Amino acid sequence: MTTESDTAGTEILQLVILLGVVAVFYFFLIPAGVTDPEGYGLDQGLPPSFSPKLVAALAALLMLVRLGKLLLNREAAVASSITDEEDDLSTGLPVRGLMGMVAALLFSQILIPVVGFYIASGLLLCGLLAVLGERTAIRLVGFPLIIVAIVWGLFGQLLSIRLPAGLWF
Amino acid sequence: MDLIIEGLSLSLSWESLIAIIIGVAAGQILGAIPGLTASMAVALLIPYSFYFSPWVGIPMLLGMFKGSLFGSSTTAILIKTPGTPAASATVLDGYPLAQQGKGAKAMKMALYASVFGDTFSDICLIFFASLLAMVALMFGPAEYTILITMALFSLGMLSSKPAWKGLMAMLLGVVVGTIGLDPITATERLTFGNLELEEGIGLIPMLIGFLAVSEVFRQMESSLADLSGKAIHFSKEKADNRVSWAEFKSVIPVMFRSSALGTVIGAMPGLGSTVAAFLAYGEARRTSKNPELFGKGSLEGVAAPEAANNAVSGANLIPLLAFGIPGDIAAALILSAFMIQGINVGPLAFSENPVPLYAIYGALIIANIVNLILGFGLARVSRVAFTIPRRLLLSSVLVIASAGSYALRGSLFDVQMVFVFGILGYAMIRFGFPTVPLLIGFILTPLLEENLRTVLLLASTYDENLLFVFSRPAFNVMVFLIAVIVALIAWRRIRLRRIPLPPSDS
Repeated sequence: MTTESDTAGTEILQLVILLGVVAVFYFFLIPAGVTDPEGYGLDQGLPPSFSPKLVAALAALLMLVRLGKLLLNREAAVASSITDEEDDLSTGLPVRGLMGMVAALLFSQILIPVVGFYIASGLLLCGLLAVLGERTAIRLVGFPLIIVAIVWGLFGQLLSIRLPAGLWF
Repeated sequence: MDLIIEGLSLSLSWESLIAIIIGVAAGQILGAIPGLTASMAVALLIPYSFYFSPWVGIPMLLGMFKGSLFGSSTTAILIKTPGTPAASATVLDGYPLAQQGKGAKAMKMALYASVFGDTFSDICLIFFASLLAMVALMFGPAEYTILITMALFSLGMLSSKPAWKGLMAMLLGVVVGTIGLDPITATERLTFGNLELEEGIGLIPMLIGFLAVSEVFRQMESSLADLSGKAIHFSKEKADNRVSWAEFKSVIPVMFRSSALGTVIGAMPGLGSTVAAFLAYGEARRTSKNPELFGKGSLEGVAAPEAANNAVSGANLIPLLAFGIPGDIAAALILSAFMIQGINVGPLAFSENPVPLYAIYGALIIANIVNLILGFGLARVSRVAFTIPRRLLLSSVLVIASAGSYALRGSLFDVQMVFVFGILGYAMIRFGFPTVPLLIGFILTPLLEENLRTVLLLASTYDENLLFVFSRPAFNVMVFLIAVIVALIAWRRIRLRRIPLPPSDS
């Protein structure tokens, strides 16, 4: 059961972290990532860095206002933010979600460039099905084969879209 | 009159009817595949349409365009994976309905609203094309800027409590939208030397990543028993599987308003069906008698974006047929197909050779009827297809979403971004940040920035006086309308505050 003070504490922590992120974005990432052309002035419109800077400033302002509200009138601010939605997956294991993310990153960053899209997809499907509780060997092999065949038929044959080939295939 | 009958007889020929049926069916299936947009479906068919007679190729193309818009809603509703960006707003209430076992009801509502919106805009196209095109031409950068700014801030607060989280998500979307080449100076922004980022982040990877992949990661945390069960549960109650007359009647005003909004937006070059869908959703929520149901499975929340995004498809053809100017990519592709087939459009076509135009009008209306009939079939097939085990569906979504995101630009980088955005979306959901305002911010940013900066450039030609915008009648009308809406909202809030709250238990 989450209490109001827990909710406020979590929100304050989120705001402080996000304010730090916005500061890094404004003071380091924008200067490093956007170079305004020399002598670019208002008579030529706004400089390229204007939009990111404006967004960062608005975000900081928004969070400071919220932080102020939370610190000054915590109860009212929290009451306005409590939702009636419950996370229906709270009983599950977050480990599976994390494993799915790792598998997806491996699939896109390493497997596709090395073994090509179709084999990588088969491996991903097989691995994910095992993680999600499939134990029958026939299904572990059969389902990925069917899905890969559907993708090959649809994209490769029907739509003539060449999906990425790997180093070996 | 003879010319009208001659035109309609072309679209009512057997070859044309069969072409429409094939086009709509193929469009519905292609539209349901994540990553394949309506424009892409049309682009895929254009080379083949060259081999057919004009009255087979063009109706098939129009059918495919219309079919793909409804097809994309089925996956948006059932598995939170919009087949095309236009269906992203349908996710907001369609998916909650599917989770309640009312997926069939949501699909039928989407079908009725799609056909309603389509027919509404086709009728506007037939009777008011020139008038609407003239109104659309009155919209310049200043009007676009104020419209988009208003949309951004009102939609930024969508589905978010507290509101600051929705606005923060929207601002993050704006930042992501600025990545790439600056629209005015072509200077690199936030690319850090990465060539792939120069083109900007693709909309398809964003949508698939934040909506579908993040949901897959979230659902992977379900218990093993849930994961081995059916992917989607359909209620056995008859009332949960159909839209009753009373329900349909209750959403008719929403469908009318959303169709009108979609038609106006469709007639304006550059905004497109995704923007129309989100704007209609926001407007439906604002004017609804039950706004608290939005985001939890409201039929109005399904009908509004569907009517609006389909209304755009007919209205897209307004500037094309009236002036020969394509309003967006899909219209440009259709124009190229017209040119291949030797059909002239534009103001002179109405006086010189109107028969092909009447045939196009006929094909559009027939395509709507076919869309309605085949849509029931698609809904039925989807019900059967999505009874596979949930763990298989979750894994398959990742693979099909990757293929779909690769298909549009042929870039492996897009596939990688799908999963990066999926993880970011998952984190946002975990920490209570909504992902939809982020997508809205991302979609609207390039439009806003381009128009705002054009306004400032124009101001520099008026002695740097921004007040020149008030010399534009369309701008003044928009400011007046926005002021009225803001005043109405403020009045409603004040009235609600005056109503005493019922005593609580504590």
